[in-house]
Amino acid sequence: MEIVIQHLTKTINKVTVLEDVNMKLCSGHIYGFQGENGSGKTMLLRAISGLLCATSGKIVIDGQVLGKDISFPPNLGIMLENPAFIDSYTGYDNLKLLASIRRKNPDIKQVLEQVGLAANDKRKYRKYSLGMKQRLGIACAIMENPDLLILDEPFNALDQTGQDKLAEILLKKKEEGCLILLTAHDKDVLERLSDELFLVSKGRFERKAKECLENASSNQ
Amino acid sequence: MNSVKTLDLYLFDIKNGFRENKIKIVIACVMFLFFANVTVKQCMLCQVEVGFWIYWTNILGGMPEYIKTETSTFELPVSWFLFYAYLYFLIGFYPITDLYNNGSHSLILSESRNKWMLSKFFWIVTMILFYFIIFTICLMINVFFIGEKDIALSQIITFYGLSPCIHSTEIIINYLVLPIITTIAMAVLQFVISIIWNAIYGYMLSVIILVVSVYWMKPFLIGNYLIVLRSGMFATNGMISYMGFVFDMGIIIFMMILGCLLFRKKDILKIREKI
Repeated sequence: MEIVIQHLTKTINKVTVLEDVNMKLCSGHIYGFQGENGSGKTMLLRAISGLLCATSGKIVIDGQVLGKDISFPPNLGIMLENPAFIDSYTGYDNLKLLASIRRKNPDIKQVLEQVGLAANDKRKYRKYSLGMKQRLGIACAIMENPDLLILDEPFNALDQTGQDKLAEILLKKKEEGCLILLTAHDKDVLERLSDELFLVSKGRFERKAKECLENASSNQ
Repeated sequence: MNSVKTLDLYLFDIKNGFRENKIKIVIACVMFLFFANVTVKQCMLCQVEVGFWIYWTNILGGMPEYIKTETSTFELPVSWFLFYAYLYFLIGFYPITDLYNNGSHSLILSESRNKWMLSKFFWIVTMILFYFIIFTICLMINVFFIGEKDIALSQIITFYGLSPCIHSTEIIINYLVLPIITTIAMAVLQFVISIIWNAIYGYMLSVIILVVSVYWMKPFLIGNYLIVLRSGMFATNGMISYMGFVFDMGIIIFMMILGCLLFRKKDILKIREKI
């Protein structure tokens, strides 16, 4: 998969949330986005996922213009900010219901265990802790082996074990050829996992020099 | 690539939509049983020999044209109004809940905004049919246990003194087909306003159409096609059913096309950002 973003600008209520964004993203890479709250990271992820329409510019995915040729990127796994599911269902039932849309029959039990949730847990989603909700959101995003994985602050509310598991999952997905877009508050985690890192400020995206990332990785 | 079928999305909506609305559906059943029970008992007290369709008319017939005079007071036909106002309340909020509250999962998994819209449209039609069916069942339960068990359509002609030339097809059209299609047209209007603007405004518009239609008997106020007692069958200057079909189909097609076009350009933000 190849995503080309050309002169993407988004204005909401006269406020420019994305300003002339240009980048090329390829399969088998993890791209990190680092910036303060409200800098435009989530807006870019929403735009790439097809939930936000560009004011000007375009996003081209494998030669198809998003919002024109296709509504959403094909085979997308996504978790944006706080995950949201049906309160009265268990984690397993929530994923099973969503999996029925594409009829891909993913191994939900295995995916739940992969993120550290018990597959036979009978607790309803509303009884889940913040960390469990986050894990379920990640499980939902990865369950159908997506080609494009978008995770907005996935490390939030996760304990150390959860963070290690997630890092392991992301590296494995990357090896399998998945294109991963990631934001995180933890600068070290982001620098360690990302192949390319973008610094985001006031809707502008600046690529961070690769040597900085390599230094960060070697220091770990 | 395995493309998402609208049918799979529709089945998802059926499961999810019924789960989301199960308490509202139970309340609807209680309301129908209450209306049916009161109507059947009232008819029994009046010692008139009636049957299923007369009970139906009492509940969903609405009222004849309101003519404003110095002495007249405008009163809404309560059971008719509650039946439709509650129906729009029942179907008006699930699409928005699915779009924002449940993480927009179904929209993204659908892979197409048009498929998502179409699936919700079929869900709305299904819910409307289901609503009419549970009303019929609740009324039948009352008729079976305490009412007159006559279900022949001819009772309408006899009881209301209508022309014997009226064919049963005309009765079915005015009693069932036209009200159901008009209900769908109004629901589609509400749905499009809900997703483009706000669910509360969509619902308020439906209620306003209902109230204004009761007050003014005009062909373009489509709520009039929901009022059986204003059909051409009952009143000489009554509503013309084929005009109702034209209006309804026009609204359904126009609003679905408009909805798809506007929804294609719609930003899906968080619900808190939306309201």
